Order: sequence, then structure tokens, then C-alpha cells
Amino acid sequence: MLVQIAWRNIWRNKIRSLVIIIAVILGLWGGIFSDAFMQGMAEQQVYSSIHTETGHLQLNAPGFLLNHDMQLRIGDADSVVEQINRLPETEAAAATIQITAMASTASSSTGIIVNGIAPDTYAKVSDISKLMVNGDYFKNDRKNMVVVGQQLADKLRVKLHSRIVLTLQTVTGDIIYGAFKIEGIYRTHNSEFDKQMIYVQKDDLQSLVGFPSGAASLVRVLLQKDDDTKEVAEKLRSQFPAEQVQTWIELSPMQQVLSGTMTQMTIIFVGIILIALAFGIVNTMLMAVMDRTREIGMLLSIGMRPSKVFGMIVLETVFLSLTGAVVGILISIGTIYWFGKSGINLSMIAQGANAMGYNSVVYPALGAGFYFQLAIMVVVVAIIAGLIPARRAIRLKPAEAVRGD
Amino acid sequence: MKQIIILAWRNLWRNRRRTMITLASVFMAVILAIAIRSLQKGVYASMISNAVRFSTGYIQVHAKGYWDDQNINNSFEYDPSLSAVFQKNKDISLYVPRLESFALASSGPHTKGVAVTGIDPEKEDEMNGLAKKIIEGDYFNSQPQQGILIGDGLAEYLQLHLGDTLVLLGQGYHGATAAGQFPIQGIFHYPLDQMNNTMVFLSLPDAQLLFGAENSLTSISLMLQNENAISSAKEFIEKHVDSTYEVMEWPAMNKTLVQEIQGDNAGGIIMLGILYLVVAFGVFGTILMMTMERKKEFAAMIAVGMRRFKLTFMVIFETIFIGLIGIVSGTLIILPILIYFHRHPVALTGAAAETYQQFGIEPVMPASLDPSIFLYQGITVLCIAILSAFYPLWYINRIPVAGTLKQ
Amino acid sequence: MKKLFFIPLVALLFSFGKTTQQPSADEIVRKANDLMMGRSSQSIATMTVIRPSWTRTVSMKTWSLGNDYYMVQITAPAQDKGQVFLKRFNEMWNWMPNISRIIRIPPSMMGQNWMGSDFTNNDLVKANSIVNDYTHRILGNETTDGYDCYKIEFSPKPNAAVVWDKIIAWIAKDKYFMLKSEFYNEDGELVNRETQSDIKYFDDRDLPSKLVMTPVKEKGKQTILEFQKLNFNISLKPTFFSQQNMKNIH
Repeated sequence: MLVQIAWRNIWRNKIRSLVIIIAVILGLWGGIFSDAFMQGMAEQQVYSSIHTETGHLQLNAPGFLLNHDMQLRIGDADSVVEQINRLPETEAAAATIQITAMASTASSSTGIIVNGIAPDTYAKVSDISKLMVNGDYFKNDRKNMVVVGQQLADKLRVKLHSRIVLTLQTVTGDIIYGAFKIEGIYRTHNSEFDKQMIYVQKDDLQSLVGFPSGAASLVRVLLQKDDDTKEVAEKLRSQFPAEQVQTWIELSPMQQVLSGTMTQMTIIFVGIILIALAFGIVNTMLMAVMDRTREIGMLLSIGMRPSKVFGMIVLETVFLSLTGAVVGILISIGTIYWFGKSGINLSMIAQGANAMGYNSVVYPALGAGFYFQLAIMVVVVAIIAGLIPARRAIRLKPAEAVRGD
Repeated sequence: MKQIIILAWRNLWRNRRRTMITLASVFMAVILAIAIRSLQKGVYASMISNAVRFSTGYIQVHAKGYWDDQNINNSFEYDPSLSAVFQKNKDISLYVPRLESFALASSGPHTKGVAVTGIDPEKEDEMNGLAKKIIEGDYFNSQPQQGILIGDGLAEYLQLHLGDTLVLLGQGYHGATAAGQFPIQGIFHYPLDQMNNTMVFLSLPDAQLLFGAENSLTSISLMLQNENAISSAKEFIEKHVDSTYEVMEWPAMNKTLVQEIQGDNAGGIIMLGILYLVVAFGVFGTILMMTMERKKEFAAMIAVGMRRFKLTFMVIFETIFIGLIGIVSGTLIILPILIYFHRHPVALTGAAAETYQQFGIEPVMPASLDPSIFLYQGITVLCIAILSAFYPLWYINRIPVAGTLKQ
Repeated sequence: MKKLFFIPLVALLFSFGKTTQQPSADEIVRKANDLMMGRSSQSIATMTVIRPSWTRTVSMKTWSLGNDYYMVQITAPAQDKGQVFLKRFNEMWNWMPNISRIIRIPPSMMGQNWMGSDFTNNDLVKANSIVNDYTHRILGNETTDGYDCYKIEFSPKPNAAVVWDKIIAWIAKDKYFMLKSEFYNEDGELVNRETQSDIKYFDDRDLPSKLVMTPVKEKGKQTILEFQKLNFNISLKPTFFSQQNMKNIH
């Protein structure tokens, strides 16, 4: 009976009900969307780090990363790659030669790191091939072509088809020069990366410095799932005890710092939005109750027990919040899906942030579990928020209430 | 008009409950908006402060043209009147002199290019805690003869230990050859590989002697008490030094950091926008309900002869009053809370905190007390309140008097 | 009858060929290079580095064998005296007497200026590259400095590891002095100009005694190399050019 009354009450005053429903929708959407947004930002950085910079895992001779000493290498890299490819969690693995060198033009020179890669295989472990802004990524098999970052091209003042001279050391310690032509220019989110990393065909580098064939400086591994990283790292450490195996977390300590801060900030923000929501509902309900003083007074004076009036108001709040929650979730799913596909372009909001692309496009994303967590939180908050005005309502003295104000 | 204003004011207090509820919605909106923005700005300020501490400082003074062409020939001779200028400005908390150049570090068959920095040991440590990073041996002391400090990565590569001799070879001032031998006095460790593998430190006099650049510096880095005073400090310095110097703020010297912060800031603005949507609706909803509750009151006033447009103004003034009171009270309440969190910031936990600590950075999220936060959020909330008032205005102009009175 | 006519005609053609036969561009460049290097050489020289706010003069003795071996000993000023630079093929070493060390110049230093001048370590090491790393083409004749010169264009060979996209050189006919060279980058901009002048008779040949390198786009910068003494084809062996010897030569 009470349920029917509550239900009808809701429809009687459409505007009032609508206001409460919208408040719940907004609060829920606000909480969910901001959570998704911040997750999107964090995932963006992690994705970038893994797919562009380090892969999930890297193997190299112990101490190699200290100074890129050419003498520290994986002798049987090809067989290592083969063995890693046999693991079920592996997406792909690639052996790379990495050497420090100087890149020179007529007017300037700078220190860089040369990566000798097998372009097709490498494209499976790194998305550098998709980040080209100019030219091609090793389209054909021409010798002595190089792919450089936009930042480096700017620093050396070169462009597509320009020639740069690399000064390197051979494995026997002699100095050797190599002329390379710029086939393509890439750009990532990390300008330091762009300034340093250049890519050439493994064969070209091998013949230039006399790197033994079949050997490599490091093996880069991409897994199918981020979560498998630690497990596979352990497997590889026992399978290849002579090599150093590092996860992307170990390779990019700054990542950890950034994601940690992000997570904590998210919690605080979502908390604040929930406070805003709760408050909005309390307020609206309070006002609504004031609006209904006469009506409530009427009910009390015809003998309805205060506890029943309380129950009625609580039920109304429950219906309204549930409705709001359902619609809110649907809208949230919709907007997150839509923005998740098209991305939110931050550079339109903060000027200059930016053409260089530090996370300028964010794809909001949220696990299903989060939706329910937040929805439940919001509904609970709404109901609790509705209790306060309900208690007020039943305290009204019937005579006063009937008289109105 | 004056009558209407008085009426508006009296109306507020006639129905306390209603006013309080509406006030509360504005109050909460202000508090939450200020709180979020303060936290965001606090975190950015702390990001900047940490980044500049480990690199250029907030402001750097060089010989003109040094930044674009960084070599020892563009150093400047240290003039004590410069320190006087820095000391005169209350916002400048520390000035750190350096002589930086490039050299080859050699030991046995291994040679490696390194960045050599001549430092004032006390000041450098005050700026970025270098002394605490020493894991073996000692930091510089006040003895006349000092050695060299190198990173553990470099020590490993060159296979050197404490007490071994490191040879530095490079180009000195005006093309003269720079060559010197130094005993390794201390070995340091930074969480950043780059610093461990490529940086070495000498005392300033030793570096000046090595490069043949007597009494010269390549830069003076400045740290500030108040990070919002960068522009004014820069202007102050420029006024007091001649044109042979260039004075640069950190954004010009660290474009990557600027981009990172702008990126984060953009995200922050979206978050703030979402919050505003929620609170704006809270304010609007409250005012909407209030309007509905006062249907009869409005109808009665029109019936006894008040012109609709006067009623409109009355409601506008009521809203302005509520807005202002709400904003002022909200600001007053949140201010002490923010001051507390400014002095005792929220702590970070987990792996992030650990890495911060390895750097020697406090793992916290401080609140910012930048006055512009209060100003902007206050104005925005006032606008929200006034915009919300449009509903009652619209309502008043359409209300069918007789019908309403009959209800 | 025809045969009689034929032979003188052929002889005439032959003689015509001979007198109008000018050397190929490659030959011209090779001869110019040989003139400066000889099979071996020894010299005493000074280098003056000019900058907008300072000038520095360095005195040195040099030895060379072919294009692969080169040694320079600094004799003045006092702070640099005794330093020796050794080049063997693509490698370069530096002996520093005041710290008693021989340092090998790594790739990262090859682009650095040598002794603060407008020559890089690279320039010292790859002296022969103008012959081997470029194809040569005669553009025409021009008069420079009172000499009638071949104007020759150098274009880098496909895989040549050189930074210049084009060099134009004015080489005196008959004498083969490389009087002027202009170095261009990929955008076709003139970056460096080198002039040789003050012809003197050294040992067994005429050679410019003064070489000036000017970075064209930077005001007030120049490096001047002046030879006081030059001897050619002296008996030098590869063993002379050793790290051990760096410490011993006088």
C-alpha cells in the first residue's frame, strides 16, 4: 500500500521528481566519468611506456644498460627469441642491436642511440611504425636508411631524405663512419625518447660495426596481457639465468611515480564528487519536503502514522535514486563508450598541451566492476541523504503543516 | 529600487529554513570547488618545485646568449654585487652558483663523455640534497684540496673505487686544453640512471682551474620562497643587472615539464568541469524547489499590485545576497582547512612514495593557497547562482496569479 | 693515295688530341691533394684562432706519411706545450704530458673542434676524403687570386660518410694549388670557406703557406694556419707513428 502511494506521489509532482532524478544521474555520471577519465589518462601513459618505449620485458647481458657497452651482448639471441616465442603468453619478441653513437650534419652533432632492428619483427613489439609523422618506416629494403624522431630532426635541422653521418665504434674498438639517409620521422609522447632513439636495419648496422650475426644487445618482448608480466619475468629469469631480465616497471621508474599519484588523486576527486552529490540530494529533498509541508500535514492529520510517512518518503527517495542510478549508468556507459572511441582531445582545453603530444588525447575507460561499485555507492548515499528530510517531515506538527508556511 | 533591495534582504530572513538550505547549496559548491582546485594546484606546484630543484631552479642567470650556445666560453666572471641583488629580494630563498661543461673521463682503456659541474657544496646540497646521495666516501668539505664525486654507474663502468684517480680531459676557456687528475672522494647514487652514469662534481675552484675559467660561472640558479613570485622576481633581477646577463624562468629551460603540466592541467580542468556540473545542478535544484515552494507567495504579491518586473528584481537580489553570503562563508570555512593541509599535506603511499623518497622528495600532495583559486571559483559559483535564478524569473513572468492563489 | 693521306691525318688528330687534352676532374683533385701531402711530410706551423672576443695562437710541428698517418706536437703556448696528437687511419690519440696520459679520442669527440679552432677532430683524421669520398666534375674555368683555375664540383658518393652535400673548389691550372674551397650543406647553404694564399717555395715545390678557414655564417670567427717550414718525401716509417713515440719525439 505504502509502495503504491509512494509511487503515485512521485508522478504527481513531475518537476520535483525530475530534479531529484537528474541530481542522482549527474552525481553518478560525474563520479563514473571522472574515474574513467583518470583511468584513461593513467592507462595512456602505461600503454605508451610499454608499446613504444620498453615492451613488457627486456633481456640483455648483465650491465649492458649501464653504458651500452658493445661487448656485453646476448650471443645466441636468435635462439632466445625463438624460445620466448614458444611461451603461450608471448605476443612477439624481437632481437635488437643497440649502440651509442654520434649523429652529425654539416652544422651540428649530438649523441644518440642507434637501434639495429629487423623492421617487420620489430613492428610486432613496438608501435613506432605507427607513430610516423613523415616519410616511411622501412618500406623497401634500401640500404642505409634511418628513421629518426621529430625532436632529433629539429635539433640537427634535417628533414626527410637528408643525410646524416653516424660516428660509431666497431666491435674491435676502431672508429667508423656511416652515412644514412632519413627515410622516415616519428613522434612519440616522450620528447627525450625522440631526441635519442634512431632506427636502422639490423644488417646495415651489423656490417658497419662487425656485430656477430645471431647476436643482439637486447631482446624485447611484448606479452598478450599486461598482467602476465611478473609471471613471465620469473619464467624467463629461470630459463635464461645468464641474462638480466627487467619488466617495464623496472625500466621506467618514473611511471610508477606518476601512476601512484594519479590513483590517489582519483580517490580524492571521486570522494569529493560524491560529497557534492550527497549534499545536492539532501538539499533538494529538504526543499522538496518544505514544499510539501501542507501535503504532509494533511496526511498526518488524517491519521497516517508518522512512521508510515517516514517510510513513504524513504520509498520515494529509493525509487527516484534507483531510477536515476539506472539512467545514470546507461548514460555513463554511453558517454564512456563514445569518448572511449573518439578520445578527448586535451589540447583543445589547455592551449599548447599540445602539438608535441603528451597525452593530448585521452580515452576514458572503466572496468565493469567499477560501474557497480560507484552505482551502489551513489544509491546508498542518496538513500541516506533522503533520510534527513524524511525525519524532518515527520516532526512537523500537523496543524502548522496544514496551515502552510 | 532601494525598497526592493530591502525587501529582498528581509525575505531572506523571513524564512530562515529556506534561506539556509539555499545558502548551504552555494556554500558546499564553493567549498568543494575550491578544495579540488587547491589540491590540483598544490600537486602541480609540488611537481614543479621538485623538477626545478633537481635541475635549473625556478630562475637562472647566465651570461647573455649562454642558453642557446652552452659552452665554457659563454661563462661570466662572478661579481659579488650579484649576490647583493639576490639578497635584496625577499622571494629569493637561495642562489646556487655553478660552472658546467663537458669533458672526457678516462681510466685505463675506458673513456666516457661526462657532464662536469663545479659546485658550491653547501648551496648545492641545500638545493637538492646531493650530500645525502653519497653512498660511499664523503661529500665535499671545507678543506682546500678536494677530489671528485662520481655516480655509481660511472664508477662501475670505469672500474674505479674510492681513492682511485680519474682523469678529465676537455676543452677549456678560449680553446685551451683542460686536463686534470682527481682522486675519487665520494660516490653517489640517484634513482635516475642518467645522473649516475654521466655526472661528476668538482668543487667550484677546482672546476674553474681545470677549465682555465678563473672566478667564472656558467649559471646561478635561484630557488624561491613563493613559487607564485617567479615573474616579479625575474623582473626585479633584470632591473638590477646590466644587459650582459640573461635571466630565464624555468618554463623556457624545461619545455618537457611544461608540456607535462599542461597535459595534467587539462585533465584537471575536465575534472573541475564535471564537479561544477554536479554542484551547479545542486544549486539549481535547490532554487527550483524553492521557487515552487513560493508559488503562492509570488502570486499573492502580484495580486496585491507588485509589478512582475519588480518581483523579478527582488528575486535577483535575493539570489545575489545568497550567492555572496554563501561564497564568503564557504571561503572562510575552507581557508583554515586548506591552510592546515598546506602545512601538513596528505601523504602519498605505495611504490610512488618510495621512489619519491629515493630522490629525497617528500611524498605528499599539498594544498595550494594561491589567491586566484579563491577568486575564480568564487566568481564561477556566483555566476551559477545567478544563472539558476533565471528559472524563478521565468516562472514569475508566467505565473497565472488567480489560478495559483486558488490552489 | 688514300693511305698516304690517312697517316698524316691521324697524326694531326693525335697531336690535336694531346694539346687539347685536359686532365680529368679526378686527376686534378688527386694532383692537388698529392701536392699538399706528398708521400710523406714534415712541417713547422702556427695556427691562429680568431673569435669576436679573443684570439689565440698555437705553434706546432707536424709529420705525415701518406694519408693514413699523421702526428702533431704542440710547441707553444706554455699551457699546451708538449701535447701530441696521433692519427692512424681512422683513430686519434692525444698525449697529455701534464697528466701523463694517452687518451684515445672516442666517437663522441670526433665532431669537437680541434684545439678550439674551426677544424674538427674529424677534419684532421679524414684528410684524404676529398679524393675518395666524392665524385668530381669540372664546372669550368675561373680566375682567382690572379691564377687561372679549374672550378671543380665535388658531390658525395652514394655511401660516403661525409657531412657536406657539395664542395666547390678552385684549383690553379698547372700549379694545382687549391686556392679556394666552398663547403655547402644539404640545403645548399654555404657553411665554410677555405682559402689558401701566400705562395712560397717549400723544399721542392711551390705551395700556399697560409690557409684560412672561415665559418661563413658566424661573424668574427676564423682559423688561420701558416706554415713556416715544409719538407717532403722524408724517410718516415709507420712505426714512427706509434703511441710510444708520442711521448718521445722532440
